[in-house]
Amino acid sequence: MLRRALARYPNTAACLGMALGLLILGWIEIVQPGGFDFSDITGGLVTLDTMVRIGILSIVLVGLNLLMGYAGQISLGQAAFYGMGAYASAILTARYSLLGIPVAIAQSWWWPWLAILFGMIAAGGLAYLIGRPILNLRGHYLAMATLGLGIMFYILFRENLGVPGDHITGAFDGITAVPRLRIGGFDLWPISRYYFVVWTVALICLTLALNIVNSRTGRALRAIHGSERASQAAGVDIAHHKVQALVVSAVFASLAGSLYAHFQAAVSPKPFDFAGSLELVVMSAVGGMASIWGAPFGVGVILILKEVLRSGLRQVLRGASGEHEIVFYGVLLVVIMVFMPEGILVWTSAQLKELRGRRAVLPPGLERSP
Amino acid sequence: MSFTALRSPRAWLGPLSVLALIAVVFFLGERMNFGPQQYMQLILDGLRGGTIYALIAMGFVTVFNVTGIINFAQGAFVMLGAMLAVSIYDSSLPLMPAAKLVVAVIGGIAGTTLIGMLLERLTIYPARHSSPLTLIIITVGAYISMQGLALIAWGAKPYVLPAFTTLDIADKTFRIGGVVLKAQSLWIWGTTALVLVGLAYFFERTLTGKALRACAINKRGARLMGISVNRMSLLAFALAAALGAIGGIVVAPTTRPTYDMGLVLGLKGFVAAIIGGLVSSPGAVIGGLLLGILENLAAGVTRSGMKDIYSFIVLILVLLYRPQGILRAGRKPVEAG
Amino acid sequence: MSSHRSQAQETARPLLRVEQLSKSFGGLMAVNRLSFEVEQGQVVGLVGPNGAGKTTVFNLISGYYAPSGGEIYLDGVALAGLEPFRIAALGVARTFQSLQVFGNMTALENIMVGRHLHSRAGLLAAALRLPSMRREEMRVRQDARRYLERAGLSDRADELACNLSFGEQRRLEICRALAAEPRLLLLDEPGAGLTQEEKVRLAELILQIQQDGVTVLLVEHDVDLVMGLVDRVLVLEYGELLAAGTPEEVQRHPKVIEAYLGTQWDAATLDAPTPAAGPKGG
Repeated sequence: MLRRALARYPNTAACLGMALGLLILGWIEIVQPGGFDFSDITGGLVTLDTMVRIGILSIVLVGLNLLMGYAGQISLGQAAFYGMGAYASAILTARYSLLGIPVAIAQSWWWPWLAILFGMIAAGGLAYLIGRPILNLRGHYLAMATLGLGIMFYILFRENLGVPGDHITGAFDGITAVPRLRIGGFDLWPISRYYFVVWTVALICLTLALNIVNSRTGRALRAIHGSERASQAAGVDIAHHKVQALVVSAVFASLAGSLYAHFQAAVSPKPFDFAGSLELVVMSAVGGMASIWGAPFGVGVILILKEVLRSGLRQVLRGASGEHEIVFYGVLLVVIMVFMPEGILVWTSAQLKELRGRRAVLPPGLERSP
Repeated sequence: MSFTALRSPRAWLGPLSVLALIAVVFFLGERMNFGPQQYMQLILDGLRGGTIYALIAMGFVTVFNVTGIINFAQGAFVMLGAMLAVSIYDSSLPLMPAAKLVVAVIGGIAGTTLIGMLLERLTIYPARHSSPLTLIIITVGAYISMQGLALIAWGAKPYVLPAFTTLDIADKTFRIGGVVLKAQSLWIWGTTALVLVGLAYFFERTLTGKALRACAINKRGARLMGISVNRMSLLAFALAAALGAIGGIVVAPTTRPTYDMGLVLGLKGFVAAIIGGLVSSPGAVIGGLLLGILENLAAGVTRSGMKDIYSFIVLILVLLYRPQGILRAGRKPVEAG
Repeated sequence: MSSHRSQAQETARPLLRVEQLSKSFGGLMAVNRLSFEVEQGQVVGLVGPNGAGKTTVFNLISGYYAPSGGEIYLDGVALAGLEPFRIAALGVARTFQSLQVFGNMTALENIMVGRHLHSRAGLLAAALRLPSMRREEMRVRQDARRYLERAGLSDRADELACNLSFGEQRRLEICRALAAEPRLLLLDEPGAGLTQEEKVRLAELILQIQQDGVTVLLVEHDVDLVMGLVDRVLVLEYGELLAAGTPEEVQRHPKVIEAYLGTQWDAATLDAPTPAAGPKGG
């Protein structure tokens, strides 16, 4: 009975499986049964810290894949929305006095949650406003417009939103002392707790995105990607659906940004610059753009690779800074886009399919719900 | 423009926002007690920066015309040109400084051109049948690969290339009615003018140039006429790389070149190309100059850290209201390509 | 047989009325003051040499081009200037000269997109998988299977559309258009690239569509196919209407005979040289 239910709902089953895996992983990491420490075994590569980062960025990636992989609309400025969430949370919870918010409210447990919601609404609203004109552009024009948007936001964060002084965003140094999240009197910190919070949210976002993909809206998005003309002929309002995809991706990115701010307890402009947006695109390409499951995979691969590179490069290259890894991003991006534009997962499964003859191995995320 | 066109907000919103921008500049300038001198200075410096954007924009235009690709890596050529020239100049070549500078300039341009050709063969050529989305991401990847390699080769510190006139960090300056003009600006303008004339000659008079133009006008037809489109694509990248390198080298004495200078310069070159309509070299020059002036004026009256933001505001305004550029009258739908 | 049917429907009102329709591309008149009507329930052929403006007329009717002048009425509703998806919602479906199936989706999903106008679940309902959305999804899936059966593609439902054969893709595209339950169906060279056998199947499908009460306007180069199917023929040349009438009338029309040098009306004369311009023509 359970098996049949799982076969009927492959997406739900996969989500449950992933949740179980994460639960076990978290448990091992926290309880360390029999002295078994995950981060020791992986040489400090996979720590709870890494896992939390993977979770947070997975949320951004799920939205970005919906936009790029399904709707086929490129975004080279997704870090703008990610940053909006982070700064909305940070400003509202750590710079509340600037906005004249009474201490009693600002220090209540629900205020940060309200700030998260505010960030999501702001990011979604902005996406909605700019969506129609910007998504009318195609190809390079859209790429450049989103890139420009991303850089604009980075500059706004760095330059105190264009206002003299640095009392709002803290310029280069950013904002510190962002409080941790709480529910009532229950702290969602230390990291062993936050890990579960982040991944719960990530899995919810993943499920929502999977539901969208396997629906009328999702089909419309994929149809737009396949052929704009033909989808219009079928009565699909392409502008409307593209904007929807952009809004969803912006809301997800903002949510992730807020979680990031409360995780770091600080924000600075650096993660939201062009390299930040680019990193997201690389992750998307690695995991496969047209794949919701590719999101956590791509993030995981890149973040772990980044750690490896950091420790590896430091040994090879004296004085290597964290920025050296961008060579790898570049080469990786080119190689993947030239040889396996559908991402590593899809490419591998296609190779497997060839090996096994014509047994249907469908790319993850493209499986059909019953 | 017909009367009916005025009824559509797209027709007048663009010019209106430009006017509004200029009004804001003067309003803010007024508050800082700017006189004509200050404005002139800002415009003059803007013209210098704009000329560089123009050179870079011409690179974008050349590649786009022949291959239909927006080469995001264009900015990397600028950086490579400057860095290679600096490296050659700083090397222990047993030459007089002036001769060394000449070698550095030539070496920088030649090296970058080679890299540009290599880039085309390694990334664009194998993926020439891919979708635009894929090609965009490939050139972005190519850009960051080169920036990363530059970081490994040269590190993150800023370098110095001496001014061409004095062969020293301190440049000779002229004072004309309170406005300061650097000698390097003259070099920049002179070089750009030469390049423009050279390009015009190349495209109008030489067989190869004509073949390139034929590719730009009609790829199919060009192929039928026996022109190798693949070779033209290679040539376009070589030309674009050379243009970028020239821009990077002449601007190097006025900025301190770093491994990541290409990103913002490349993007602004693209904005300039878009202003000029993306397909015309003279348009690219006008776009570059306008952008340089506008950005410098706006930055002069506000926070200087905000300088980069204005070109992106301009980019988005132009993309939204005049995707065909400011020079062409007809409204062409923006197509993927 | 076809003329017989058209007489029976002589009193029917026009479903599509095109009045003084013009479209110029930078001074070139692709369509010039073109007027015609299509009666409800008829199959009408649009023929003419390459570059006569047939596909342009289709693009004008379905909203991909805005007319430079003139008006298009569907059952009295003006279409000119509306966006394509709005025109689709008013009951105009179409296929494309260059096949436009969604290669990244399965055959079944292609048809489900065709049912877009007959479902309404929004983003939120989908994200939360509300019961109403699940019910609708089930219904859309069943409907889609029905149309797939009609296209004779039931056994290929879960195959990615790009893996279908050319003929299958053509049928899929037509049935996707049918799934929208249009009042007017525009078929742009549905027979191009099909084998003789596939063309026979196509003709059967089109007649079936007509029997369901759908009006069909079709561009086709294969004259045998056109003549066997249509109730009326519109002959276009240089964007203008050269002649109109039943196939027999048109074949006897002096202007048509003059234009085609008095030779027999056959594929060789009407069908201008094979289009060289790849998929761009659509």
